[in-house]
Amino acid sequence: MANYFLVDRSVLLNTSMKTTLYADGEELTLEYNKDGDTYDVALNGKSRRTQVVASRDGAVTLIVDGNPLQAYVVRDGTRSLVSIAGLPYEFDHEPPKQSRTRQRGAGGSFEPEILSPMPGKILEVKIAEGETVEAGQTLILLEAMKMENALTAEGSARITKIHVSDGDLVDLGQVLVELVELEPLETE
Amino acid sequence: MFKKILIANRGEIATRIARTCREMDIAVVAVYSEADRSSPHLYAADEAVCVGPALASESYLNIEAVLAAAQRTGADAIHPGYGFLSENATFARAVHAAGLTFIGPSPEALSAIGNKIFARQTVTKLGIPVIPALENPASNPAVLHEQVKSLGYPVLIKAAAGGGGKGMRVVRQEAELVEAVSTAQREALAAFAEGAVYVERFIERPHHVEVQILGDTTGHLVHLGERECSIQRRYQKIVEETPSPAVSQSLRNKLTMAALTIAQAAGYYNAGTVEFILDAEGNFYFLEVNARLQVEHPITEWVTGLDLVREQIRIAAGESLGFSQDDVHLTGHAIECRLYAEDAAHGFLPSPGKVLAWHAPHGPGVRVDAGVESQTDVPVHYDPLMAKISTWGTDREQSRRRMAGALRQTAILGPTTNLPFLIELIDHPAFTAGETHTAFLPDYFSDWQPGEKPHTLAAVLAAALHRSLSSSGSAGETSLPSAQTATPWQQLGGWRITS
Repeated sequence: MANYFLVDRSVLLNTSMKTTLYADGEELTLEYNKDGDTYDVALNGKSRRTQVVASRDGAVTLIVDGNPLQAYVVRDGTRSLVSIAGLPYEFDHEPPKQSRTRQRGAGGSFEPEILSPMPGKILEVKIAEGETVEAGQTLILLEAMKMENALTAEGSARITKIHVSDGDLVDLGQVLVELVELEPLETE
Repeated sequence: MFKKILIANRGEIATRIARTCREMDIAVVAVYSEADRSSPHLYAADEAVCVGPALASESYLNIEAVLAAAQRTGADAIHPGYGFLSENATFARAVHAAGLTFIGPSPEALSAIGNKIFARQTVTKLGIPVIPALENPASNPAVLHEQVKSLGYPVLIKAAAGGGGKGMRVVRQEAELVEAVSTAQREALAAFAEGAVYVERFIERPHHVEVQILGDTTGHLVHLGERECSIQRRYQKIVEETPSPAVSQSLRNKLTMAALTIAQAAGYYNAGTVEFILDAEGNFYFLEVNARLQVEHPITEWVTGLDLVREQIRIAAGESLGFSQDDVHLTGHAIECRLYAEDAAHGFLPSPGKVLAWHAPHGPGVRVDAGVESQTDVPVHYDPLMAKISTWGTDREQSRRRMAGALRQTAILGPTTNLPFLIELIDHPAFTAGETHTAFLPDYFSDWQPGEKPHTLAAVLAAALHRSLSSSGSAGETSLPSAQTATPWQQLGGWRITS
């Protein structure tokens, strides 16, 4: 109640405005243009007639093409997280940094590091540095929320470095193991 | 009646139990681990005691620490909730030995029924069918292979103690057997402090149906109908409903009769659940007894009008049920969805973290049992259940539509959750048609990915506005006409606040 504001919809913005956000590395350009008491809001050139009706801390009420919507919004660092009709949306206000992708197996290329897929506890490191492993072989058993998960090798490889030991707590994306791919032996 | 109850649990169930205690004028002691300092179950209580570090084995499963907390605070009874120590006969005995009351069945019934192998043998003697199984799998791999071959693949490996899908593995071929058994043993040991497992034949596409029972200490027992709990991932339930779309009245009569027979033979009192597997031909097999309050008890409360926690407390205090089977009327239909911090698009991997925003749904026939609030943590150490949303309707379709609306009203930001998945599941034609066997998810939702989101423009606009409104004077795009009384709205220049 205390933090509830009603916005006079005729004075949303005096002028047109342009802003850019990023989702999954994609650019989303939003333009507002005043037109009477509503606004043409265009996302990447596609326009909808929109009114901003009300806002309070953490929530914005919009009417998009006649359809009233409640959006819950929070800021998390450079990101904004939005929930509308039960579905989450995530945007970054800054362009994605030029960083190597750390998605395992994306495009079939061999990843030289095994990253923790979730925060959890190392139950067992099943390999040693210098050891040779085969595709599908279990390298590490990771427990998160009482479920055990086996992290496996995606191809035959040699373990060059192990960064964790049994009982360690690890974060999402933490490097657990480094390894180099072994070329399949050519048969004459 | 008790004066003060210690709740030996956390999260939504601790909060839910505390509410009933308050209603009954019973003071509440919460226990918490160091990882749960921000958990709402603390301030649902009158007193809160830290029982140890994050690891459950050192806090919520630490019998000495929990008992010491009860004695120090002068509690006269302990409610164990579900999971953790709830089905631990050693704990129940220790509670009694300390002169306190354990709110649950007797330690004897817990030992008898909590051990799945013993429970199977007892139930078989009563003439109730059980699934063919190896009760003592050999530790020698060669012998084990022979044993399982004669049982017939596929098989299911289960922990002898406990439930909740921990320590369970399906094995379809011999090559996977030995590793699966040792994994199951380790998971069982970690979760229940007991590594014993058994192997049973896996029945394809069954329904998982359970009967809720209540009994007092004078031997008076009633059933409260059945719950359909077949929609599961990793053998853990996601969606439950009552009554079951797969159970006819004549089958209901047989199931509830079997459940009461088992409870009576075990000298069971307090709340309990007898689980059955229903195959495609309508045969049923006894699965196990859950000697505690179930996660999904709210749907039974919806259709019976009873408060199961209140009944548990009354029974533990020695009161008689005070009503008979004829007084139990099952009215309408209820559905529960479990909101988990997990990524349904990536193998339901847990996604712990801080909850940044939480908005619970409401409205006619909508109930929410939540263990989170905005700015609280979902710790990595425990089950990722954040909240249970349940809906009631005069029939299944009304209940389903209320659920569809309630899920869309829910907002949770921070951890990745299964909410988008639940929204699609509840509206799926197969769910609408009541096709709720355990293969529902593999059949209709394997490799599920979230669909096209309909409100991207509105979401981008909301994010952009929110940024403009919450950023301080240094924000770029708009200039400030006057900064003296600058509210966020005025920072946009042309905005006006009218009350």
